[in-house]
Formats: sequence, structure tokens, C-alpha cells
Amino acid sequence: MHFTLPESAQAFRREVRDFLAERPMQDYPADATDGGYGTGPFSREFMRALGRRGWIGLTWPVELGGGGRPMIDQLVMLEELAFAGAPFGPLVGNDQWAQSLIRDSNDRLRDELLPAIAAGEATCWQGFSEPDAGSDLLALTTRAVRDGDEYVINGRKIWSSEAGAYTHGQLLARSESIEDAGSRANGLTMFVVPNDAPGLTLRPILAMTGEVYHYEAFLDDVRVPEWSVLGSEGEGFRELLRGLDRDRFWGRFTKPANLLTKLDQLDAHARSHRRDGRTIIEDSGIARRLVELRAEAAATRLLFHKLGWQLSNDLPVPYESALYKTMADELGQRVANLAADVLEQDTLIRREPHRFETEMHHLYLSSPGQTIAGGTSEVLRTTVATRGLGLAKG
Amino acid sequence: MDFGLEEHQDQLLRTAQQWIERSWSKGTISSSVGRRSLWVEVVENGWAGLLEQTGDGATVLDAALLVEELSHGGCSLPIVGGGLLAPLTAEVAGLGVPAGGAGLLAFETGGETEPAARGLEIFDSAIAVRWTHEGGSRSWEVAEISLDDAGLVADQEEERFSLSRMADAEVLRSASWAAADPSAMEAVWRVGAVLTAAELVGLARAVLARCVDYAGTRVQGGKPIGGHQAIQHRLADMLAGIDQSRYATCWAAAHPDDQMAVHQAKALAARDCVSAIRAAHQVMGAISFSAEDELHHFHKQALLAANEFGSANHHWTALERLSS
Repeated sequence: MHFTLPESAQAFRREVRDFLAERPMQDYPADATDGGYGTGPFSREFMRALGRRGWIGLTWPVELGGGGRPMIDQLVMLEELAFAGAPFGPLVGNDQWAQSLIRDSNDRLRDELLPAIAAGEATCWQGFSEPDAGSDLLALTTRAVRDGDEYVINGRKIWSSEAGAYTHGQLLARSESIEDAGSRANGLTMFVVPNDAPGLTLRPILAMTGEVYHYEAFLDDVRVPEWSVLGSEGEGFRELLRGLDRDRFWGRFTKPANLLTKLDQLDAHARSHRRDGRTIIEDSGIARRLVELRAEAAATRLLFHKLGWQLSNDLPVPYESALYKTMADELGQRVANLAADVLEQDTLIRREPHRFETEMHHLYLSSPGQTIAGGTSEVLRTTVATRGLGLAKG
Repeated sequence: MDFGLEEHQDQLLRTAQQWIERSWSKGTISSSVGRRSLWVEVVENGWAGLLEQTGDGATVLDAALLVEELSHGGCSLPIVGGGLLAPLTAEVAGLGVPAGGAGLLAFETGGETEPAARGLEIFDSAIAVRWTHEGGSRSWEVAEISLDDAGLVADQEEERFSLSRMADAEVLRSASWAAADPSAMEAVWRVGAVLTAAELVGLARAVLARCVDYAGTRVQGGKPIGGHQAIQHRLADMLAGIDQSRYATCWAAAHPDDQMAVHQAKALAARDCVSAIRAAHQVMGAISFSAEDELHHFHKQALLAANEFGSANHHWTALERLSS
């Protein structure tokens, strides 16, 4: 057991820092809002800048246009982006999409999409949840029917992050009836659908932050070619499960680093602002919560590195991704609560972008959704108990 | 980064597990005579004095992994104080330590209660350490004291561990105290904080395993109580606190000179591992607050470890000072 980064990763960290120092992050225009996951908003310009450096496909195989670099380099880069508050919103989700294409896709789909993803031009949203299929995803009713060399998709998806700003959707639909497939987990197929496909309509959902992050997708006779299938027909749910642990890992890996930065900002604010005749930090309750949350964020960061090490060594992760995702999101809510106690009523005042108060406003109002998206904390605690501790399902 | 065990660490932990399986039994540990004979085996295994600078080059991380494994196995001998910190302290103060080890008795000068420590009945002598706060720092003194006729009162003789207090203050008053280098002593105390954090992690892991076993077999209303989400979620929360403490402790053990890392590890372990053990009582129900179940031993040992080398509150306060 050791905690030393290889020299090559340390050198790459310096390279990333140099890149980030070239231009202030707020100079990159945001094309969509920050989901609050520690990855900042989506900036097309920033994604293209990453693409020009070859950092979107950093770990992909060289023969597929990637950099062939080890996973630790990707972790180092992501943390540096998070510490800097960079607008790299779609980066980790896109990488998971690309890894699915590399692992399971047909050549046509892979050849069409990988270069565009690597350049920062193609971005992907997920269409899994439906109005009546949330935690019980297998209750979904979106149907895909084969028609010659095409599929015709009809249905409705919801809570699709950034769907209106991205270029493609990754959709799960039933291609075979439950009766014919033998179980609810069979007969589901994963499709890649471009946003400009006729019959696809996206409805923005206004969030309590006052911004749009999620969308509802309506699919009315959407036709896609047969090579749009990601993986094998009827194997969509297994495709989704294969990526689930990795999704939860990548989806939250940058959060502790982001929260550590937020805590530093809160600390600085509490030392430079006064209330009740003293600086805010002189309130012993505030000071104590700051050091406790810092310790938790530092430890959670370490847990994600441990999980990354497990995944990169193909070790089993029976509970880790579910537990650490829950821990990171609940930690984020505690940091948001502290922000609200430091800022008091200012928490609810919307101000111009790139201000500390605006960041905290967004952090607080986006935090309730964190423990719901990507698996509710309740479902995930049950996963920890059953898969991790071996207890029977209730 | 590599979170796997190195070969020598794996060997160290295997030896600890085998020793626990072979030697650790309720009958042996329930008397001071039994504990003395087990301590001889600890010394023979090379665990006492593992961290001495003149030793075999073991790191604080090696020691932390060993302490966690032993406490996970239920070992309640004073490995941290008597086994690892007393020799280290004696070395820093230029004192010799008997081959069979010595107890560690640490206290703040002018304290209002008699100094107390775990496992003193095992040893003939103890390394006594006292400190005084002067401004923002501490001054330290160290002495070797004989424990014969020292007026030891064993308050917890019936437990798996023993907690003895020094009722006769004269032994301490008449000891030959020597000033010790403050920075060296603070470094020793940081190691103590890390190792007691590791002890807490081991204890909490053991308690969680007991809870999981109990929840999987205790049937109420026709099904195991572990099938209820209320129990499942409580156990998941215990695991969260333990994992967080465990890796914060490993990190601190690998960086024992990093004050912030050490304070964070001990504060988290003292808060979350003790919380997990308290929660275990709720999972295990009425039997858990009786002395007929072993949970109370783990709980009391954890409370001692949580408060040795600085309580959670002590370390949070230190972190506030560091960040100001």
C-alpha cells in the first residue's frame, strides 16, 4: 500500500495545470448549466480545447485514436479540472459512452461517433428513466419495433440531463415483450439516437435553481438504423448494469475535489465577512463544521481513489460504488447546508455568474437532486447491505 | 497509488490472524496471569518495539495495519501504548526499555484525577509521560517508573482489557523526570493518534461483522431482521463511517508528519467508529446491553482508544487552530 503517484502522472498533472493557467475558466462560455456533480457546466469551447490536446480520449486504445494512457492520468486530470472549477460537464459521461462503444459497439456506430467524441463535438445524454419507471427501471414502457433494417421507437423518457444541449441520446427501450423475453430484464435494447432524429422532441424542465438541467424526451415514431444498437439486441439491461458501478464511480469521482474547493471558498468568506459584531468564522459552530467537512471530503476523495484502483485492477466492487456515491452526495448536501448558514438569506438571491454567492446559491439549490439522480440513497443503501454485506433482500 | 498490501504487510497480517486464532481465547484473557503470558507471545512475535528506530525498519503504516488486524481479531492487549509507543518514547527520551516491554502512562501535569492506563498489570515498569501547556505548545517530561508497590488499582479486572489507575501519587512525584524534545514527542504523539485510530477501525470492523451475522440469523416476525431496510441502512451507514476512517487512517499512517492528516484521521475514527459501535447496540437489541454478550467489551475498548492520544474534540480543535 502506498500513495505515491508515478512520475509520469505527476508530470501530466503539471501539464494539466499549465493548460488551466493559460486562460481563466470563466472565459469559456457555458452552453448548459452546472448539474452540481463537481464537473461544472458544459462549455463546448472547453470540450473542444480538451479534444485538441487529445485529453478526451486520453485512455482509449491508440488504434482507435486514443492516447493509450493509464487510468491514473485520467484521474489526475479530472481532479485538476475540478479543483480549478473548469466547465467540463459532459467529459466523464462521454468517456463512459465512448468506453461502451469501444467495448460493445458495431464498427459502423463506433467509427461514426468516436472521432466526434474525441474532438469534443459529440456529447451524449441518457434516456433511461420514464415517468412511471424511476427506481424501478424495468417498469419502462418505451418500445422499439424492428421494421426492415430500421427500428421505430415510441415512448417517453424523463430526467435526461442536458439532453437539449448535447448531440445524442443513449436510450433504453423494450424490443421484445416481457412474455416473449421471459423476464423484465430481458428483451431490452440500448440505442443511440441523434438529437436531430425526426420525431424526437425535448421539453426542458425548469429546476428549482431557476435553470434548465433536465429534459423530458418524447419519441414519436423515431426511426433509427439497425446499426444504432449499442451492444446486442435484447441485452440492453445487462449493458446498463455492466456500466453501472463505473458510472457511479466516474459520475462522482470529481465531487470531493470540487467540495474541497467550495469549502476553501466558504472558509475565506467566513474569515472576511462579519456578523453579530465578529467575523463569521468566530462562530464556533461554523468553524467546527468547516474542519469536519474538510476531513470528510479529504477521506471521501481517498475512497474514490481506492475504488478507482479496484476498478483499474478488475477487482470486485460489491458495494463501493453505491456507498461512495451516496457518501459524496450526502457530503455535498452538508456542505450546501453550511453554505446556507454562512450566507443566510443571501443563499436565495440570484446574482451574476462567477461570483462566490452565485456558486453557493447553485450548490444549495441543486443539492437535493444529488441523492436522487443516479440511484437514490435509499436504494443504494439497500444495495450496500445486500451486495456488500450479504444480507437478504427484504 | 496502490491500495493493495505489500508482501511484508500481507505476511505481518497473516501472522496476526494466525496468532489470534491460535492463542486468543476468552479463558486466557480473563485473568491478568493469562494476559501476561499472551504478552510474552506478542514480544516473541516481534510486535513490541516494532517502531523503534533501531528495529527492523517497520513503517507507521505497517504498525497501523497490524494494530487494526489485532483489534479486529478482538485483541485487547495494550499493543499501541505498551507495545509500540512506550519503546518509542523511551528511545526519544534516551531511556532503555526492558526486553519484555513496559506500560505507557501518559497524563497532563496537574490533572484532577489519578493517571490511568490500559494493561499496566502486565508490566513491571512503565514509561511515564507528562506534559504542560505553555502558550500554544507543550513541554514534555519522561520518566521510567517501577510498577511494584505503585498503588495500582485495577478498575476493570473482569474485562478483556484492564484499566489501572495510579492511586499513589508519590511514585510519580519521586520519579526522575527528564525533559524530552518537544518536536520529537509531538511526533511520537502523532503516531499514537494514528495507531489508536487504527485500533478503532479494527474494533468497528469486528462489531460490524458481529452485527451482520446477528442480523442475518436473528429471526423476528418470520424473517431475519437483516431483511428490513431500517436495519440494512443502519449497517450501510456503519460501513460508510468505518471505510472513511480506515483509509483516512492509512493515509495518515503513510504521512505521520502531516499534522492535518493525522488530526483528521483520529478525529474521524474517534467520531465515526465509536458511533458505529453505539449503533450496533440498536441493531443487536437487548442482549447487546447485557454483559452476557461481548459487544460491551468492544464498546469500552473503543471508548478508551478514542480518548487516548487526543479525543475527537481535541483533534477537531487542533484542526481549527491549524486552519486559522
